[in-house]
Amino acid sequence: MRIKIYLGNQKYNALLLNEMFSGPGDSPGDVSGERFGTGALISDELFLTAGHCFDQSGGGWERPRRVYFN
Amino acid sequence: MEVGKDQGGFTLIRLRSKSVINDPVFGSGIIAPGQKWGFIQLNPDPVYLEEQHLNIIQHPSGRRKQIALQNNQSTDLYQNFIRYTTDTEPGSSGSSVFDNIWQIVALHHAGGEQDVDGRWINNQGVRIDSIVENLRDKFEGTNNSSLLDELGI
Repeated sequence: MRIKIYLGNQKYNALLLNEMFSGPGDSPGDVSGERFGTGALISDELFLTAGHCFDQSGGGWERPRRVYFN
Repeated sequence: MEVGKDQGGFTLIRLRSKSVINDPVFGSGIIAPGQKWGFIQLNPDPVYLEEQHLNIIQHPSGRRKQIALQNNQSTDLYQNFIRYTTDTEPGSSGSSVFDNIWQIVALHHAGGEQDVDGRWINNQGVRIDSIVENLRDKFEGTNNSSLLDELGI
């Protein structure tokens, strides 16, 4: 799934990799509502954040719409 | 232990490099986000101690970056999670939890326990060594194993 991630004031095109490690019953790859989260770069291109930040059902957790890193 | 739906969960996102023009540092060209902003190298096997100090760099409720440095000790160690008194808010989810030598030891994702009046006693993060183990289980020996090399794990 293609998404946009903000690092500081810059917008990056991004690809959600969770399809690569989801299993039966999981529902990765969607974001809804106006929420915030945090994350960090752990390589030149890979960005780590919480599982529930991009889970279709959300399970009642707070989820981000834009991820900030500055 | 009740940890809700987000059981050890994490999200990995690949950011695309972008072209910059007349950047004061990089000039013009294709720049990876980690080249511009830097990145944190994962330590696959950090040390977990009772009452160790844990700092969290975060964007609480979407505000500008804040660093929680005080009242910040671990309270409980579990196989896949740790709990700590370091303060957070909604929007802090996904923050890196750092030890005193600024290595990532956990990924903040939830509140922990509440007292009888409903006040939060501690918060909870997924241990980074369990995330590394999860990634190795998923990708070792697969077509995507280069992802482990990228992360240096």
